[in-house]
Amino acid sequence: MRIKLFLAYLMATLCGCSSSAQDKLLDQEVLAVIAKPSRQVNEEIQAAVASLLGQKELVIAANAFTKDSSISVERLAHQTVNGQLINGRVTEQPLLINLVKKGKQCFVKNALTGGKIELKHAKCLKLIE
Amino acid sequence: MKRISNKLFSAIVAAGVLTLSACGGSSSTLSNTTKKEDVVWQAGTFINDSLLDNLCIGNLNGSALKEKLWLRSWSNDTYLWYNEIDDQDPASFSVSNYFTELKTNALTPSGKLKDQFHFSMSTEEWNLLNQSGASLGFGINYHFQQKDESLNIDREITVSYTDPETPASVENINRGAIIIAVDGVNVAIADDSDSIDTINNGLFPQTQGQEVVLTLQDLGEAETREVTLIAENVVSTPVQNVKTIDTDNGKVGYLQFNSHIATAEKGLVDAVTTLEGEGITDLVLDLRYNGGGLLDLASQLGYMIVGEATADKTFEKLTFNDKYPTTDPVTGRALVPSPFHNQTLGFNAGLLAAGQDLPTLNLTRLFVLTTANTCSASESLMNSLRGIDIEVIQIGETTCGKPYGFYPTPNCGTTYFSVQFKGENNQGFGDYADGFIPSQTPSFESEVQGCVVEDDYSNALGDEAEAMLAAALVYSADETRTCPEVSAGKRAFRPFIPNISDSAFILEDKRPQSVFFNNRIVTTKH
Repeated sequence: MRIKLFLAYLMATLCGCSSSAQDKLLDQEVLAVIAKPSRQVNEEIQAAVASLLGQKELVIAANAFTKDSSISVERLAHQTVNGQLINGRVTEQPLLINLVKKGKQCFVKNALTGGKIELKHAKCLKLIE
Repeated sequence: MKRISNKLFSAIVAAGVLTLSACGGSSSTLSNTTKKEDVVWQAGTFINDSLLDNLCIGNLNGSALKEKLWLRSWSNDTYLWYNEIDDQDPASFSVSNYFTELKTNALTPSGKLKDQFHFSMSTEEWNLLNQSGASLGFGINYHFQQKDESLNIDREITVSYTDPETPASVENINRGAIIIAVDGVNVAIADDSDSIDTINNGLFPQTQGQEVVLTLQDLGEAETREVTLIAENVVSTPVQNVKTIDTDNGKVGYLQFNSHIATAEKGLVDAVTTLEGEGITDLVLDLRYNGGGLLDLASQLGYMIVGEATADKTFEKLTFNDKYPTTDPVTGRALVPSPFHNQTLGFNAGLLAAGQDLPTLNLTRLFVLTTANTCSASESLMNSLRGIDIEVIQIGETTCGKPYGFYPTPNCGTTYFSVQFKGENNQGFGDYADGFIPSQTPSFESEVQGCVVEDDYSNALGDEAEAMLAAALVYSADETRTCPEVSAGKRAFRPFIPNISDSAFILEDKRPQSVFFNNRIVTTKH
């Protein structure tokens, strides 16, 4: 009987540990990739990143966050009528935007400021490196 | 905030608000006390431009005159050739017209305008951002040939290259393919605005999912084929086509470097690592479509090509006008030469973290393939390597000639680009406003040992038969430094684009410009 009680206690403790570790994992923010890319998901990402950076809109590639969890964002390469870059000597640092997952939630996150916006429809998977 | 420098950009974005476009919101210290009429133009006298910041037309204390006087004072303070500006009374000019007057009209030794880089655009447009290399389209980079009836030249659109994993690559569209028709409109004979609109809309889509039917004549094919492309948000691959070519004199590496964008850092590191592993003894760097971008990437690439010979050497030193011999007038910092970077900078830290040692090829010479599209940071790379006595051999056409730069500066909703500095190499050379000119007998510093060769659309980039690469391979193998014969019509210097005489017949990308769509074609109705 004592052994059974001990085993029950052990099980309960282990379960507790496990669930506590799971909770911690769920609380942790991890780098992620998009689970099912589509045009709708791309549009949601574009809108979220634009909002994050105070832009009306911006172009994010259809395959963004499908292989890597980060993208760099730069000023549009404005050109003259002759096809030359207006500013061909750029000293601005590009911005880094990460895709992160926390629990079941998925966010685009500005690596510099930590600001983030949740993607309501896109599904994310933890990045496995 | 007197001026907003490039360096501040990240911090501004970090604040979550792109305040660069702010006009009426910010005000100078005198804005509350400066009345609308209390400034006048007086020849040779300049008000401190910070006192005129954002005193805009329509503001309580602003006026067109104050905007113009701000431009005048700012130019007088920071323009590289401020003492070549004709100090004109602004009264008879609009603000934008007055800005166009605030530049030198001096000519380069070859006779072109020394300052061809004087621009302005709305700050809202200037502040637009995109994912590095991303744009809406098909992944095709076009070459437009102008129609010139006097020379019996037809209008022609040729594919100069495509990017992998794009609609174009899926449809096996390759360099050299000629676009005969767009949505049924024949490119060569289109001669009315509806036809031109159809071509423009087809080549430069406005929405994802937009379809275009291209009639193509692939390289070497007599027959045409039709492909339907669906526009999507594609991303360019700035470093492509990395390969090693076995020659009698050793292995020659080749890489196509199209743009100094953030993702190129990893591309270049991977390419150089591969070529280092192959044990190459020469490198052909294809910069023919590289108009520049992140200057630090050029510095890193310089190190990766040369290695330790760059140690303690200047990659580039900025020089401003003679009012600022030792300090940067915009940042206020002391002028310090920038080095060749020997570590990663983490432009996209998710792909490649900062602080890692860069690979190096330890070469003592470099072949560069160039056209008039080779510009800015690409020219800076050439100049910096020449500055440390690395032999740079130029194959192709004269580069664009832009040793200059500026801090884009906003005022009253417009961002102004006025040349403020020149980049000089380790030997203090930066005078290549006429471009770097390939020559078998160079006699000026801006002439570079090499060969004049036209861009060859009849072969793939990286193909040993492609004219520029072929010339580099011959040159590298031959101690007599032989160049291919240049036909009478082929010259080292080719102007970019003829003047546009009829805007109704321009094929152009009217969207905010991106690296995919870097040309336009003009036609005049005859």
